Parts: sequence; C-alpha cells; structure tokens
Amino acid sequence: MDVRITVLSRPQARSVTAFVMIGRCLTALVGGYAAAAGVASLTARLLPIARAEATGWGMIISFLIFAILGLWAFHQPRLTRVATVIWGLAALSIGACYLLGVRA
Amino acid sequence: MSKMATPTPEAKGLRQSMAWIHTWLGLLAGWILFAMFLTGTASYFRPEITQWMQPELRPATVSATQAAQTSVAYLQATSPDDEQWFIYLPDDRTAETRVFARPKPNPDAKATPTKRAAELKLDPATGVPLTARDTRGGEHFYRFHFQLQLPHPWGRWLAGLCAIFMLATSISGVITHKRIFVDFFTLRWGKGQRSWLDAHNVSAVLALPFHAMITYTGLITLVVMYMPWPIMANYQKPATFSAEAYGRDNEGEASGKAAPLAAIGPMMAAATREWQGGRPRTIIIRHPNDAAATVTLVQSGADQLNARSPSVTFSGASGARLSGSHRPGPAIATAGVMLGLHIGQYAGPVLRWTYFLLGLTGAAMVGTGLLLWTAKRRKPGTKPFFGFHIVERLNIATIACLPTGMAAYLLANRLIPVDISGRAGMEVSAMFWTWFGLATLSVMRPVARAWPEMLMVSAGAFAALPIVNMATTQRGFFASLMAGDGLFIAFDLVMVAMAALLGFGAWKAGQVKAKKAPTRRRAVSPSVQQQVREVVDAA
Amino acid sequence: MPLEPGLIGYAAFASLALVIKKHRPAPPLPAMPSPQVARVMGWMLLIVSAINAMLRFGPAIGVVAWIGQLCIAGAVFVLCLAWQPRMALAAAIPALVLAAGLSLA
Repeated sequence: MDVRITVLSRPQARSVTAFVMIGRCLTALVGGYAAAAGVASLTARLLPIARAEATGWGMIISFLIFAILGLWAFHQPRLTRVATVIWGLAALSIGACYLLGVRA
Repeated sequence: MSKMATPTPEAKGLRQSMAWIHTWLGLLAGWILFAMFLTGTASYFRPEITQWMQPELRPATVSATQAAQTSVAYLQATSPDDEQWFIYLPDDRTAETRVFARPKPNPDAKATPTKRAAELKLDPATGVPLTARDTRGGEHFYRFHFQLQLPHPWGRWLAGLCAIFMLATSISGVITHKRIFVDFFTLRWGKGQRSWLDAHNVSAVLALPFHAMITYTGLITLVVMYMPWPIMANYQKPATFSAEAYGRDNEGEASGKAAPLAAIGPMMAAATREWQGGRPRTIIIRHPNDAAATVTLVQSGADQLNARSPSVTFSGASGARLSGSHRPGPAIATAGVMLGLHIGQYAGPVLRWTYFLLGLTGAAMVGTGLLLWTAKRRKPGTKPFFGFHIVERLNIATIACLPTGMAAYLLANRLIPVDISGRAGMEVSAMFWTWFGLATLSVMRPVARAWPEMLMVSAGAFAALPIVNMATTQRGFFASLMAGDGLFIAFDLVMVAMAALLGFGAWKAGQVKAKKAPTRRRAVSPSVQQQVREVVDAA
Repeated sequence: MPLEPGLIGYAAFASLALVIKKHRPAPPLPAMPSPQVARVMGWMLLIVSAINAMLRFGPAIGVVAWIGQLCIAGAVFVLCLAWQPRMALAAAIPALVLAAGLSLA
C-alpha cells in the first residue's frame, strides 16, 4: 500500500487513492483523537504526582499530541504504517488504562 | 520574484506534505474560523456591547459593598426562602448588579417544576430592579463564538473541531514557511497571488504568538468536554476532580433551623484583606436565613491572569470564615492561566484593545488564507472547476457578508420597538437573516461585482449605526461627547472606523474591476479580492 | 496610557528592517545606521521594550502585554513599510520620542 498522498489527482488510481485518502482521514481524525486521549490518560494515570495535577497535565498536552499525530498521518506516505502506529498507540494506551484501572 | 512557494506535486519531504495539509485543513475550517475570530474579537467587549445595547440604563456608580448590601436586601424582601442566591456585583465595566435566585425544589414530586426565574438587573445604589429593553447584548457574540448557534452540544464540538484544525494548520504553516525571518517585513502590494501570500504570511507570522496562544487556550476552555478521559483514568466520579482541582464546593444541607443572615459588609472586607486588596465579584449565598447558611465570595477575574479566581466561604449565620480555596498546583494553575489568557478578563483597557486588534489580525490571517486558495487556482482563460465556484462564493458569503450581519444585530437593537415581546430573539434573527440573505443575494451577482457590492453594504450598515443611535436614543455622539461618556463615544468611533475600512475595501475592489474589466472579465477577481483582503488585513 | 512597549517595539522593528538589504531605502535616509549598528540597536530596543512592559504592567501581565503590543507594532510597521517605506522607517524617531514622553508623564 505504498500510495503517496500526492498522487491523488492522477486519474488512473482515483478509486484506490480515494479509498486510501478516506482511511487516512479517519485514522488522523478518529484514530488521532483516540491515541491522544489514550496517551493523555495514561500520562495522567502514571505521573507520580498528585492525581489532580497529573490529570491537569494530561489534559493540557492532549491537544498537542492530537495535532502532531494528525499531521504525521498526512506526512508518512505509507498508510499501513500510519494506521499501525496511530491505531496501535490508541489500543495500547487505552488498553493499559483499562488494565491499570482508576487510580486509588 | 520568480521563486514561487508552490511545491511541485512530485516533490517529497516534510515541507511539501505540510503545505498540502495546511491548504486543505485551512480551507475546510476557514469559514467557520473566520466567523469565530470575528465574533470572538467582538466578545472582548462583551460587557461594553451589552451596555450599549441597553442605553436606557445609566445607574450611578457606588461601592461594591453598597451594591452587595442593596441586592441582599432586595432578595430578602422578595424571596427569603430560596435555596440559593447568586449576586454578580458591578465593576469597572458593568454598571448594574445582576442577581439570580434559585428557589427550593418543590417537595411534592408531582407538582410541575417551578420555572427557572430570569436573571434580574438591580440598581446598585438602591437595589430596585431595573427595566430595560430585552436583549442578549454582547452575550450573543460570545455564545456564537464557541456554540455557532447550533444545538448543544454540536456547536461546541464543531467549534472544537475547527480549533484543532486551526492548531494543526498553525503548526504545518510554520513548517511550510521557509523564509520566516527573511520575509518577516515583506508585503508587496498589487502583485496578485504573490501579494496574497505576503499578506497571509505577515498577518500569520507577526501575530504568531497570539494565534498559537488563542488556539491552544481556546481548546483548553472546553477541555473537560473535549478531553475528559484523563479525568476518567484517575477518578471514579468526575465531580471529585473538580473538587480536588478547584476546591471543594460547599454543598451542605439546610438545617431547617432559622437564623438571620449575617451582614455582608464585614465578609467583603475580610475577603479583600485575605486577597491583599483583591475585589470580590460574585457572591453565592446557599440556604439564606438558615442556621447552616453559607456565603461564598469569589474574587474578580480582573485581578489576576488565572481565570479560576480564589474564593472564600463564610458562615451565613455567624459571619465566621469557614474555608477558602487552596492554592492550585502548577498544572491546574497553568490551565487556569490559559483560560485567563483566552478570555482576557484580567486585561485593562490598553491590553483589551491590544487583544481586539490581535483578534482582527487573526480574522485577516484566515481571510487572506481563504483568498489565497482561490488566487492560486485561478487560471485566466480556463473554466474553473466546480469546487472553485463554491469556495469563491463561500468566501464572499463569509468575509463580505458576516460583518453586515453583525452590524444588523446592533441595528436591530435600535430599530425593533423597545417593549415588543420576544425582541431579544428578533435581534439575533436579524443577524442571521441579514447574513444569509445577503450571502444568497451575492450568489446572483458576478463574483467581481459581488465583492465590492457586499462590502459596500456592510460599510453602509456600520456607517448607519451612529446615525440610527443618535436618532433613536438620547445618547448620540454629540450628547455623549458633552457628557464625557467614553463608552458611547468609542463605540461610535469604532463603527465609523469599520465603515471606513469596509468602504475603502469596496472602493478598491470596484476600482480594480473597472480598470481591468474591459480586457479580461474572468481574471479580474484575484486583484479585486486582493485589494479587499489587504484592507481587511489592515485592520 | 502604557503604550511604550508598542512604540519602542515599532522603533525596534524599523531598526531590524534596516538590517535587511532589500528594506534599506535608496537614496539613504539622513542619519541611517549601518546594518551592523541597526541590528544591535533593534535588539537593544526590543529588550528596553520588554523591561518597560514589565515595569508598567508587572512581570506576569507584562510579558503578555509586551508580546501583544509587539505583534500590533509589527503589523502596523509592515503595513506602513509597504505603503510609504521612507516614512515608515523615519517614524521610528517620533515613536521613541512619544514613548519617552509617555514614560515620563
């Protein structure tokens, strides 16, 4: 699936590229949000400081993570790599939060 | 200048991919962001706009303590058995006291719930309710800025989506712009697409600290809604987080034993001492006239950068200090300062005007970006693709028609009869009917004519405001000048300035069109738009 | 009115523009610093503007006021530079005089 975003306008690959583009947009927007939420939550859960403070830092950094992941999703040419990293990050961080449970 | 910033499609690298994403994210969110910037900028004068929209109110200025005493006396006289009283004291920017009383819930579950009482405005000197025309005032622009007049919660989510697009667009824009320092002062006029790029770069780069700050802090204002998951990771109940972060909310039960409410004056004095001169702004009284009554005083947001103001709670029966908000830790304080930076309540007059001008540079940045998109894609002699027409029309509808809508909201305030019922809603409708009506009308005109015409209409609407104000109220420009009424003088001057700016844009747009129209009809619009944009950029 | 940070900032930007060759007017203005001198002057003025903002607004709000007024001063300077380059650069002197007047008043 080595499809570069920049070839989108070439007609011969239009349907493939449209499919890839939709996948990329969904990964960036939904996956990026899930990964940002997961990483922010895991940070908040694991930071060894008062939990209100840890929660605050997690929330503050979350949007920066989201923005950077979203941009990277459109920079990296391979959609498979983009999807693996972003959805993987989301699954791992959210899974870790579930396993750790709510802070006591 | 032979060097163009447009990357070739085959070129690889970070700069190219960032340019691509910058273009499309910016385009998708641009129109809403422009509206958010414009209404948000107006919201820096929210209390002032409200004052202007109720010109019949001119209460005398009294001390905060006196205002607190008169409003408590009014609430004691009208609804002493309420569950909660909220009192918002007057300050430098709001002349009247606002009170809101929440009655006890009806113990009879089957009874129809008591209708939520409206907020009242009181004369701070006497505590007598003030009557004025019904209006949403500056609150309307403020609400539109993040709710976009859509049902809850969709407006807030859409605003948040546009904000995160804006954040990503800012980052990718900085990466794309390869000559930030070389082109720092470069603005070349009358060179078509090149000028658009210059104007976009200059408005973006020179005010970059503001754009970055306002975007990120804007997301932070609604972080609990947009990103509640870190709270979920640490707390069983989200309420525990707010209690830990911002101090415990004294939600005690009423005792049922009657006890007279202690005097408010000494509590205000004690709070001011505790805050080293800080002024109380909000008073929350729970279970008034009960032995378990509490009085919470919240410090004015004008006193510090952190928008989460400190508070102190007293016993309503004895007047003794019960508790005070603790000093927040670095993260909660950072979030509070971010909130404060965004809403700018702490800002004195000079800083508030700075915010206002910076907000206009934001609108200029978004607007020039939108126009750059069309300028780049317009090829003389070729038939533009369908999407191009849509973008072009939406640009006119947003950039040239929204200002008229905002002026129409203010005009409606003066022209709709004062005592007609439902007039506040009619004012709001006036804004949207005008805005969308003109946008529809503009579609029927050729693009090159629509720009100057719509800009001329908006200039006319702003120019009409001081005249209509003079004709319908006692507080026209000259009367205000005689009375030394700074707010009304400044308001008229800003309206005239807006009119001049938009009129200049309309004139430039028409002039360019007239010069070039005979030779190439289709190709005139870039320079038309460019002139227009430069003018708005000048704001 | 505490407008000195912006006024000094305007002069600082005018000075820094003189460092860049394409913004140096020809024929030169009477008493125009060399690029090297202009660079030092520009940065010095920026520092003076920052100190002034801290003194006028206090340290916390001073930082915000300084950056905010610099942004506006920069935008005004660039608009003037595009319109009347010589006048825009020369206006640095009255801006500084006005700033001095305001800080004494």
